Amino acid sequence: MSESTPRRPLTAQRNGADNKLRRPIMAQRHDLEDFTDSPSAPSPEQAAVNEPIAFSFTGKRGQLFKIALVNSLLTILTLGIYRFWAKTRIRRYFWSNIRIQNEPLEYTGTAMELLIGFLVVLAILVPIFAVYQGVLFLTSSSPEELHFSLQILYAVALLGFFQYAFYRMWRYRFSRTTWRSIRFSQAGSAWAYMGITLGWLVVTITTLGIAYPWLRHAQWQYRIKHMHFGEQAFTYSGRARFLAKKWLVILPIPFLLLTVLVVFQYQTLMTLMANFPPETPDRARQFNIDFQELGWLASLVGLTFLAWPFLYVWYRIQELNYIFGQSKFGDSGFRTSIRASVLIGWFFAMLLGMIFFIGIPTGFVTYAILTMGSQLHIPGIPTVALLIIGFVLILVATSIISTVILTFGITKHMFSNIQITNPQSLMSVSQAKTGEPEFGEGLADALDVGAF
Amino acid sequence: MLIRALYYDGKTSTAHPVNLSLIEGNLAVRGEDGLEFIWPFENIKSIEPPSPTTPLRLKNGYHGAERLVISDATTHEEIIRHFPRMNERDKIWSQNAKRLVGWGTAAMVSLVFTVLVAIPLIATQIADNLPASFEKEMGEQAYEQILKTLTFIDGRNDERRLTCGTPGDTADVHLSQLMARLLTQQYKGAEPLIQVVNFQMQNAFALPGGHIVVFRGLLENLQHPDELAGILAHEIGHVIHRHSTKIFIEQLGTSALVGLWFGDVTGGTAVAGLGQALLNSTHTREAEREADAYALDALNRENISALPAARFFERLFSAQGGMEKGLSLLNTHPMSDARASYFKTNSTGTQPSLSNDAWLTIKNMCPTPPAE
Repeated sequence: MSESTPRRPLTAQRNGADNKLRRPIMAQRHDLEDFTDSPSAPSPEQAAVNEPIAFSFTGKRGQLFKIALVNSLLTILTLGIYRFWAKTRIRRYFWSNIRIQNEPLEYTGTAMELLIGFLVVLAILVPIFAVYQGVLFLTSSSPEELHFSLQILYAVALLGFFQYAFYRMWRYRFSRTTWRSIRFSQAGSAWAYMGITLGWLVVTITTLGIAYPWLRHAQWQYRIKHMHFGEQAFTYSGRARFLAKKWLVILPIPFLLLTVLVVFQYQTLMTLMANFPPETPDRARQFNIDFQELGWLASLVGLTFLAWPFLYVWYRIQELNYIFGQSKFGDSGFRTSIRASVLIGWFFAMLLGMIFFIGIPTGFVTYAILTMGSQLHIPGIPTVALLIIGFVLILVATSIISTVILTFGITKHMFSNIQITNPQSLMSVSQAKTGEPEFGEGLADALDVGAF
Repeated sequence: MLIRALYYDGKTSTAHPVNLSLIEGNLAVRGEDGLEFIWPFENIKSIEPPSPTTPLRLKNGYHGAERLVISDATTHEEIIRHFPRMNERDKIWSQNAKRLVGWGTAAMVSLVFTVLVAIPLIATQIADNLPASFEKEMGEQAYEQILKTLTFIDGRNDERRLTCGTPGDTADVHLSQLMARLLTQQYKGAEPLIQVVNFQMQNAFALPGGHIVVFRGLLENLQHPDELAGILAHEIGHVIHRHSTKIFIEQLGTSALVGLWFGDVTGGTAVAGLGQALLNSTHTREAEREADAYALDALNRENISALPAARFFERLFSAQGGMEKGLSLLNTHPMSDARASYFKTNSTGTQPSLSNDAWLTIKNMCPTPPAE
């Protein structure tokens, strides 16, 4: 039955009675329904009927490019300090163009908060980090066990630190996001999140990666259960088993191929290893190595490892769609159809952009320098300075291209493919009384986590 | 006239359809169920700069939680001219002055402490405890990096043609013997090695792991074998005190800080800083003094006159103004009269450091540079 009316999920039918009660009241407001900018879009009052509503993204690449360009120039001119303003501008742009049924999200964070957060990190973290690094180096000549365990400790601490920083970042961003004048928030404890992650990480490592979806599930569960819109929390009812099914599709692929290579070419590999590197082709032929066959298999394995990041993206998108589907806000649910192929497509578009706008020009300049040599030396400017300028230019272009092509593409695709079923629950939420974090996401900024 | 809008009260996410009217300097808002209030014109702010393609979103004061959303673009122009401070920014600097100054000072103190105290202290500790093999590898990598960079700057030479002499040839033997004489202190690291590089710059420096590099340009400019002895003794002083290693480690630390400042610990600026650190091992004044003291001591002990070295410093000092810009970037030794006179007044040696034959062999160990 739901097949014939796909836009109305089962839950909507259950709430039908409730809707009928509300409809007459809403009908009085219908004279106001053309308040929205596009004539075909339903007004908030119509949505009260509980038809699914959609996210939409209204950004334009040209506008974003202008912002990114000005941001880059000012960031260079201010030796990096402008980046807090730059980030804020970019976020305001993205947030204000993500609409849920005509009303956009609003980013209320300020650059000053980010700046102060950064100063806090500088003040507290830098000396600690320096001393820790020193201790680590000092033990490099001490007994191996001590040094090794310190290194493990260091890796774990760094990883935990990143998790902590991520959580703080989310907390800040959520607290600075409003919709229909109501704040989002990420409650919970960043330490707890770190603990959950590290605990499951141990399990994941000891199971050679098999437990990874359980790790992801635990992370998502903690995040979503502590995610609030106004005073109400989101709920999550997912199972790790679903994620595991997707994960176990991609996890064994590289290992299987590696096994195939080793099993079928065992003799050849052993000979190769014993005589590596073969000095001449004659010498190689002497060992009766079928290089063609070996090459085929080796490149197959190599390709698989190259393809692994894309398989991983595929998994993560499956995961994201599932997580959205299992998350609820009151009666409101989410339906997404985000596709890994689109994201990977934008990734390659970005690569093309980089080749075209960075790779080719850099190639030309390098060629010119190599052929003309020291004639290109500009008196008064050290060559090293020119190299640094070139380097900065490349960095700037990279950041602009990745923002305008990849970040924009991903954001647009994602927020054009989210639907909210039974949106009624979102329409009369009370503001939370809890406070918001005072400073910005200094830690995350210093560690450079997060896309924008 | 009446303008239709949606009102969000900051308390719930409910959308209230309202009518707006402009009355005596106030925006009057009327809705259902007795909803009625005014916003003074001068309080009204626009969330984003007005644009014909997006709804106009207004708030009452910088920190107002309520929102008015006017979708009908035809009415925007008519009402926004009434709001004099609509696009005015919040005074974030003065509001956050206390915090900014407080945390800014704390951050500065922390940075200064780290750069001036923690990093040098740690770098010294690390350098003194580093295994010799590790240090040697560090120096070799730095050496290769420098050769590559020089090849690139030079444009003409390929890498192989950038070194002069081969290990074990006459010039090398003479140089090594001189080095051995000048190594007068116990030193637990790898034995200092010398390499002459076919590059026009006047420079010599010591890399981690005892790798001493002398440029052809410097060799050409020398007028007396004892000048070379003085320079080598000075560089050996750097080696003995592990200056390069310390400075290299210090610069690793500082470049990580620079990266932090620019917001990317892992990214490019740190790499750029590292490249610079390799090339531009800025010897501090303190390090130079230590190296000079060692050099003078070694020369006196071997009965080699330090006067030629003093003359060389004077020559460099007077020529400094005329030197290429590129040279001063690499040439990190500060020239000064004080330095020359320190060598002059304390010199006790009388014997030449090298025989005439040996000196000529070394002077001519680099192939004649191609005509410019």
